Amino acid sequence: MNHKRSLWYYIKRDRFMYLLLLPGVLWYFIFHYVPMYGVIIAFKDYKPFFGIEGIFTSKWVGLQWFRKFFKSVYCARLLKNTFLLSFYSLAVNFPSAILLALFLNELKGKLFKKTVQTISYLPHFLSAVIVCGIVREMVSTDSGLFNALIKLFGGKPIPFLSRPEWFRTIYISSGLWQGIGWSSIIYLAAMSGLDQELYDAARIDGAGVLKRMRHITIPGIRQVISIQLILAVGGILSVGAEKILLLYNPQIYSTADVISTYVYREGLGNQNYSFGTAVGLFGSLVHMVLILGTNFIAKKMGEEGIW
Amino acid sequence: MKRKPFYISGEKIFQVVDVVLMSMLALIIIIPFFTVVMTSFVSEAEIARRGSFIMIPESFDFSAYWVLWNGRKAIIHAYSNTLFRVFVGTALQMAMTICFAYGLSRKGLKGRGIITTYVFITMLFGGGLIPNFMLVKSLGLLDSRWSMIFPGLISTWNMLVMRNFFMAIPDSLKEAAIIDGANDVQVLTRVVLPLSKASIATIGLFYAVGHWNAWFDAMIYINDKNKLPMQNLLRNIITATMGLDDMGSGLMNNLASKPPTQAMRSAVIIVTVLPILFVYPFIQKYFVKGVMVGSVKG
Amino acid sequence: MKRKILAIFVAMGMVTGLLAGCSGGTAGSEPATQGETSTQKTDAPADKQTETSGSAADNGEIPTITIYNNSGAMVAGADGTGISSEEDYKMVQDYILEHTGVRVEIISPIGADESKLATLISSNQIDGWWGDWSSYADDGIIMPLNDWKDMIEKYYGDDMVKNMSDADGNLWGLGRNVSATYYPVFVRNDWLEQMGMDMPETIEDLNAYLYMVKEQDPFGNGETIPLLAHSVDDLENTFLGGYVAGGTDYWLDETDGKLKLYWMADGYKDFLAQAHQWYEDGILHPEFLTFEDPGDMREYVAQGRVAATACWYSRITGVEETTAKNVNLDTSKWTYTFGWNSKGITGPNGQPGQTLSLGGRSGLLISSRCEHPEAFFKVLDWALSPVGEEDAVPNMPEYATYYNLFRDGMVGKVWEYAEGEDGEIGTAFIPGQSQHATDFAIFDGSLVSLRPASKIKYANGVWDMHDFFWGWSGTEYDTGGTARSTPCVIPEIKQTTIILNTALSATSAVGDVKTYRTEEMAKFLKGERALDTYDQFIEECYEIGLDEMINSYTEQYNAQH
Repeated sequence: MNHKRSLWYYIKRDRFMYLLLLPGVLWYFIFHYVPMYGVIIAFKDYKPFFGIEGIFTSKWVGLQWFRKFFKSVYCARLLKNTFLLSFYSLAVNFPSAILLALFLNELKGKLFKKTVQTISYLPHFLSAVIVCGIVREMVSTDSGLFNALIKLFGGKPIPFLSRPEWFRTIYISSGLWQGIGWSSIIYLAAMSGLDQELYDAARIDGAGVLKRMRHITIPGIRQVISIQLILAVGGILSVGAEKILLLYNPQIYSTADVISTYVYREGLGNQNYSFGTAVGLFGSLVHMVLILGTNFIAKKMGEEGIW
Repeated sequence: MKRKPFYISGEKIFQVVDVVLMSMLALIIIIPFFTVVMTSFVSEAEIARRGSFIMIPESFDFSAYWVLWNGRKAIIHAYSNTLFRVFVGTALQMAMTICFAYGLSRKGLKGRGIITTYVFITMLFGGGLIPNFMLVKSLGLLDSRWSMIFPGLISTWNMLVMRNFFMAIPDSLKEAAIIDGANDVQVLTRVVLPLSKASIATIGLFYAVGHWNAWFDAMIYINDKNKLPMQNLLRNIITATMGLDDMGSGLMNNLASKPPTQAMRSAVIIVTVLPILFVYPFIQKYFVKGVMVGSVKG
Repeated sequence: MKRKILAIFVAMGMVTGLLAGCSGGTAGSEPATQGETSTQKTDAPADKQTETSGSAADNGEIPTITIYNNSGAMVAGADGTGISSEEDYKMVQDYILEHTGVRVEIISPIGADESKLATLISSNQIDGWWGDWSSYADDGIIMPLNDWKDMIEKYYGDDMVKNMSDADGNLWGLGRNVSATYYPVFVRNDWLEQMGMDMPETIEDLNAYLYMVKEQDPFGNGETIPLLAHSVDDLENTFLGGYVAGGTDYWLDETDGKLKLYWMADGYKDFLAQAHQWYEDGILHPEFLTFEDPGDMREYVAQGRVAATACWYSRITGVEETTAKNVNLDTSKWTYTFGWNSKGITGPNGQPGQTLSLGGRSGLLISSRCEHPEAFFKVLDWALSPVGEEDAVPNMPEYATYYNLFRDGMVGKVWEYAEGEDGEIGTAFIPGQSQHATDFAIFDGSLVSLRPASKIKYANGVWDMHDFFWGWSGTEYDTGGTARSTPCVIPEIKQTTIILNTALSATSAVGDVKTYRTEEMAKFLKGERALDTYDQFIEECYEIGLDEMINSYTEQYNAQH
């Protein structure tokens, strides 16, 4: 009987699997577990130039940095901005990528399809600094295309990057511009794997395009969608600082300042790594709760989770 | 000839709508690129004459490209470093990720839960900048191009996605191979990999683009200017404002006219994107093929 | 079968590779001893040298000095990449080595942010870097340079030495900037004539000009920028002295004995009202707070859109040649596109607007773990003293130093001595010559670098205006390099300079107050918040933690004076 077999039996049976896992396990140990001691500086008063010894010798300060963060008048605003920015991004980008994949998938002209696909991937190869450079150029009141159009129709130019109410739109639409084509790849890949006979059968039954999408394509890629969603939700609080740092200014802090930019100003500007680490740790905890939560819900709904 | 009855099917309407929508999307994506291309040819004199918003310049000024041409040696160097990290880095990442994901995809593997937790913890707690730097230093990787590759061999997210792809492959196929006398490694190479070409191509591209756009690791680990990848140079050109600093670099004197900052930035963007434009159709061919052939048939 | 073997080989190779790495990791992660440290250091720019390792000086080997050149002077190469050709770098390095017996290695900050410096210092990879000495001195990170004080004073001047010293007289670095007036109001000469006006002397004169420019839009398309600035700080540095007695300096409040900030002083509200008016009337560009400095700023100046400025001088002087060309400057009438009032622009209180910008505490700092500080100073002495007979090149002026080698690369390769239009010998770049990204510019801030106009003339004249301002900046110097009071700044500067402990600022609410202030200032300026709520705004700052901040400043001030 199975359960009577010794552990050794299983190890021997799966020896090749363990062999394949070994390099990865070692890699994780060296590149993740060895430097993990650094996390203690979240509870210490540490400055980077103390060197590596300083991590151990610097003064313990307990939860001081966590208190500093939660006591800050900006705590609530930072959490709100971080959450809203990533939530809106998710709400816009996630369905858009699926929609694009659906539309691309239905295109008949092979060449046209390929061309659109190629064009849509292109912005993904640009780094944040370039994208932000383009964004700044596009929304500028003097040389920007948008304001040129506004002026053409007799409107008054809008200083987009000076208006807090515009920041989220700019951030999200530039993200969409950059990422939509790329994010659709994974769905297109999944769609191409779907059984063509199902489509043919549906066509014979007289099902229209939209019906086929709803009843064949979407259910067919459900699992991919659910996994992508879990991954996306997991990253909901990890709004990258780089793009915002390149776009924001004090006038629009009220909507643009997020946890990571705050940590960048406070932590790196003042060489206060302890504070940055502490806030990072807090972010990780939220991250974990979100991932486990979505995973749990996905499984409850009968989808395959990550675990 | 018999005339067809006047009838437009839903399919056709949809195709038309689809083509129109997709064309619009392509246009929206292209326009910023177009403005960048045009801006790179604008001269200071033209801005002074016509104002800042110039859709198409009257005379094409190449001085921005001339400036970059002056620095071609540095730029070619940087490109070779980028190519190194993209190709070697992606290959190693794929090898590591495939091995690990396949190992974890085995249902009923003893210790699978433990290993998954072991990996999951690393997503939450990191040592931070200095301990990582010290690690790379003590491994002797500082100032080596390998420092851009080893610390990021596995992206946990990508690995988990791949594991799920592997798990979606029906067990019956794997079992059939085992009955034929294959061992687990052979199952991987003969059954699993051929069936997951699409996902491998996808994850591979994710990795490759990650390498293409990465700059932070090189900034931290590499001091030798000649080992920096293109992205680091690009950041320097775009953020360091080009041209004369407070103390000045007299070399600008060699130029007949200084290109405007925006032209310079645009030219740099184009020089960075051009290689992709040239190479992309070739990659795309294989990529699409991989997606099509590798479809998992239930 | 082949595939299987291959797969196993790949796996095994990785395992062994990682194991090797692992053992290396445990051995090397111990705190490095002195000997190891120097090995690491010389190894840093890896393939450049193999022979020099071990504790250098003791064995008669070549001492190496590694400098992280993050002063900001280095980022600009001819192509913007900031990379010198390897040949050029090596040539300068070898030349220094040959003459001083010291190898100087430069680590460049290409595309880097603050975290690069943090890792370099923490891993003891560098002997020197640019920074604010007060951030490091308390923690023993940098070395006091008292032993070389005389030499530093000779080459850098006493003003600089004062700024770089603490209250106990310890000298902590080689300063970058002198105390000077970096915020002159530049006014377009040709437009001034076009408006039929004279060089403004008071804020009313200036306003008359600005408003007329706004109305006439001499650039066209409505794109004229009457007053160029990129932050409220710019405006404060340029004009605040005309409203607030102490300018942008701290001031001691007699009523409670506390050290206060300039934006809490009498008169600040009047300044703010003027700034708001400028914004409201389009004198300031509607998006000026998003301008990138210096990129955008120089761009606008060079395009010829700017009528007057309230910003750091080099945004104008650095692009003068291009500007003059773009605006078709009538050179028979004016030397430069922009003129300035050497007495400054006087504000409502009768004082000039500028506050003397103190040289500040930023400069080249030497790590306390630097093993060969004497080698560093040997190089410095050699670099800044006059060139000896044996190195004389044709046309070389007698006052030449090796400073240009560090700044611009090899003479004869990158630049040469040449006769200028006025018959004086100066330096000129050799057209089409190799790239040199000023890698070795580590002695900027010395008197030699500050006064090139009086020492070396650039043959093509591009730099005259720039150097004039950099060297002089509206400030007069005596021979020792001490700033004398000049007419264009507020006459009496109390110099209530304090050395702020950065560790304290990290724990207090300095960051929050700063964030709050910059945000609210933008609102006041744009009229989104009424000016009569300014007192309330200060109260709000107190609630956020201004109280704590001021108490800490006062305490430190009392301890230092």
